[in-house]
Amino acid sequence: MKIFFKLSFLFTLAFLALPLAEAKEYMVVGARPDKLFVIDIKARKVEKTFTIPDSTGPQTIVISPDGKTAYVGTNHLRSIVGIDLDNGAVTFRADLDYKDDERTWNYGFDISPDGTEIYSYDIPTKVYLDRFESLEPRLSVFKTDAGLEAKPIREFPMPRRIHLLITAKSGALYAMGWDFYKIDVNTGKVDVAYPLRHWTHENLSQPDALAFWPSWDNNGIFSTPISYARTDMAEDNMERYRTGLLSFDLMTEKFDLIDFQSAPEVLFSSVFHPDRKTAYAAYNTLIKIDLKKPQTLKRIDLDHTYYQTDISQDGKEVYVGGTTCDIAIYSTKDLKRLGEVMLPNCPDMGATVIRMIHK
Amino acid sequence: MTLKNALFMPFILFLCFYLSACSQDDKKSMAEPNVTDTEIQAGRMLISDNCSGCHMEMEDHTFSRISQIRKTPEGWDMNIARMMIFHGLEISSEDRKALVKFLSDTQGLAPSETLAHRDVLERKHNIIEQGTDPDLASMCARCHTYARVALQRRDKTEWQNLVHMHLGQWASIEYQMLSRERDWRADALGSVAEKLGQMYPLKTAAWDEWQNTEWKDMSGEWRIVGHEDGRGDFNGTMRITTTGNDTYKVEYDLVSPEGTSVTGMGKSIVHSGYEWRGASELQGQKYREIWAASKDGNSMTGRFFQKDHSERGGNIIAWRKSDTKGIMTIVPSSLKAGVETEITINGVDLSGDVSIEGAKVTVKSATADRVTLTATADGTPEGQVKITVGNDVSTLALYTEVDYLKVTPEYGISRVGGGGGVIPKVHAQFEATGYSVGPDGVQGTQDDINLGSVPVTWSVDNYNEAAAAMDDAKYAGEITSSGTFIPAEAGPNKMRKYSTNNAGDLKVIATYTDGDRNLTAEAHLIATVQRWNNPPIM
Ligand code: HEC
Ligand code: HEC
Repeated sequence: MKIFFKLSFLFTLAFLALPLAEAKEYMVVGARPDKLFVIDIKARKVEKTFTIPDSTGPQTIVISPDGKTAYVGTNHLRSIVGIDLDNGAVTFRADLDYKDDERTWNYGFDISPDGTEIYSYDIPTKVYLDRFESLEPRLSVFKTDAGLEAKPIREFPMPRRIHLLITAKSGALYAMGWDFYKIDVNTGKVDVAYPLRHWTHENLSQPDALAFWPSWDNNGIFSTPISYARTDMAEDNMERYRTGLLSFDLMTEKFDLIDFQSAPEVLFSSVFHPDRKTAYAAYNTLIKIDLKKPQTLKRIDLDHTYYQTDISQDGKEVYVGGTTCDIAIYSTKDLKRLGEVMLPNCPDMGATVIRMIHK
Repeated sequence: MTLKNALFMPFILFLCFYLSACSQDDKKSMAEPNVTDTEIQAGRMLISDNCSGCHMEMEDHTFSRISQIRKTPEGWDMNIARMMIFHGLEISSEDRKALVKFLSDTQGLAPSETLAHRDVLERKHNIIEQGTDPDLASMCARCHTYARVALQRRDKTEWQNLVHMHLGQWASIEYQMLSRERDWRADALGSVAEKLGQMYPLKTAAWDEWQNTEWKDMSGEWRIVGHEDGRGDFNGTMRITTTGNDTYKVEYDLVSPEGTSVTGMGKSIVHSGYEWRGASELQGQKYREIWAASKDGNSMTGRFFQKDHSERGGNIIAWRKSDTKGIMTIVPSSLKAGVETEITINGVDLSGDVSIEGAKVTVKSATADRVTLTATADGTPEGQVKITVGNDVSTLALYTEVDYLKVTPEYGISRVGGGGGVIPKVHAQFEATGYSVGPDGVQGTQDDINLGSVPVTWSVDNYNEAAAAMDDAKYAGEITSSGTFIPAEAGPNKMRKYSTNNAGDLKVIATYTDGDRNLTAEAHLIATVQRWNNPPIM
């Protein structure tokens, strides 16, 4: 136990310290129909613009551990395309309806910590001449060096309704759906790691959360707003409807739930400060949350709706993006507006995600 | 049909098809007494030519996935549109129309099967569907109306096929609110498909019976009365002439709500023996008509609306003059004590003495279609009284004062539009109806008397504090003197908080003035964003 603690402590240090050493921080976002942007966020400047072939709307973006490649989910959720972040070359492509007469929707993918495998959660439908047949979802495992016609090397049936895959630092694969699952990528075995639909918190209703946003790049922890009701409170009591933050530490693989306010606003995404004392969540408003109290410390109105919240590695700036073509930048201290980045020609980010990388 | 005739049929069929000239006195088909064998042959050819690349033709001349479902004309048309958009079907617009006709006639819905959902078929805007099963509504009526489901007939396996189509087409269906807390797929393929198969099966007594009822030709002289929302009542005649294959030419001769004479022309087609679909033009305004004929084919009811603003229109009743008699409408439908009022009685074959219980009547003009009179009531009795023309009787409301108002719809929806975009604004039309509290003097009881529409002035205000904080009443749009709410332009508005669009949450207020007495009533208006598609069955 002690050793484990020490090890994980070391890992945490290593994880936080390494990139700080020499790397410069960039933000990577996609936009409709086929753009991938690399942004020098501190300079408020789009540094590189790449065009993704056969693309409609980039959504999920996964960065290789060496920071060289962005894997982008696009083509109506049907393809994963690997783009070299130095020169925009297409180095990988997996078209997920790789079986005859199938159409497939991707609802999340992630990469192994050693960068060799991609895990993709796909929902296939068999297309006959005159009818469709909805099939069971599956996990497809691709080799990242498989080139432009990647075919899966392993395939496992999966539970329905998963919407986010996360590989922990250990290489264990987690998936958020009706429950939070832990998946063995070699056997396909699925265990409930943290029950949501089946949780047993006393006096709490079944929770609701639909998270697509990977906000763990600069803090090592996934978090998402989650809503539920206090079933022991009267229906007309506004305190009955609760907002919490569900978090999952990518290093320790521990889950946590904190309840921080009633439900005065819609929140789509959240991000922890690297010091894990505060968190930020957004949609029409941007709020700062004290994780120790826990309570909402400050709330501001945003100029429009934003989907994803993210944070700089030094913990000084909180970013909101998605929906249109600007990334707005606020101070983590007092939520004062610090600036923005406008994407060239104002393309629609839609539901693209934000990734923070260090090169 | 005797056995001998039945055996003889293939030969006749062959002959008719070959010569393709004997369609007039062609034999009625056995299974479909209202559809000729030639029509059946032609229909099968159409399916074979256009659809059999994907839908297999069986030995019994049925086609996979097609012959096992019944739909309304709009349902069939939307189905063919999906084949084109999703599956790349190429079909001429002539064949598409002919297929909709053929499929509606041979695999349509009976009048009683569409009755509960005509509001949706008639494209009434923002209706709140009544009497739907709550579980089916949350499973199947959050993206489209429940009517879209209830206006189809098929057995369980075909309901399951439809669920598979949904899952294959929209993966998000399992992730949306009201889905994600359940196993939507398992429920939809399981208990929901089971229930739908029982509630709305392919084979029903209603459809069998309707197929065996003689479907009437609509040609003839018709009397038509109607109400255009926000404008008033009109009446007149229609001359319907057949142009073959259940299509018709229509000549309108109407008196507008303002009392002027209006003539116009229209064209129509009747599907499934009773579904009248018309297009007409009156005073430069293009209209569409979605009416249903009665079982005996002697009357029609339904809605008409502007071609480019389906939310603006009204209702009609039409009677075939040769087979009906009686009073259709009284305009206005109420008479205030002590005020001499001009009243029009519309009907068919009217003759004889005219009287109103409790009122003095002076007839100004009288024809078989229409009686115009002036009437003065003395104050007793109050309430619904008899109005008679010869032997024909109807009712009229006598009252002394309007006691209260109601605004309809109670809950309206408008949609922003224009603003450089392709989607036009969707207006919301409100009307105010006057009521008398009736003999018991208490509002909201059985004996309250509906006095028909009353003249009011219109205004809007913020619905609640949240709306006031966003200044909705200022930005969302304006209401005209005839109760038409015209929403603002689409797109973000820089003047507004969060640069939000011109949506708003409003109160619509009607004020009725009688001397120094003011009555008001309110409705709730959601001024919202565009719909990106406006399918015939919402
Ligand atoms: C290119 C192939 C193709 C052609 C051509 C085609 N269909 Fe289909 N049809 C399909 C497929 C695939 C489905 C199942 C998915 C769906 O319902 O959209 C289907 C489903 C249907 C259904 C079942 C729909 C429901 O409500 O469940 C009907 C009815 C139908 N087609 C009618 C037609 C008709 C009529 C034509 C010719 C005018 C036609 N199709 C031409 C491919 C085709
Ligand atoms: C996520 C939204 C959504 C839900 C939930 C949904 N539908 Fe639909 N449905 C659609 C859309 C979109 C179409 C239009 C397809 C097209 O373009 O033809 C449609 C079409 C239909 C049609 C017309 C198909 C045809 O070709 O005639 C029927 C009938 C229908 N749905 C029934 C159902 C039933 C039954 C359920 C519940 C089990 C359901 N829907 C749930 C979105 C939905």
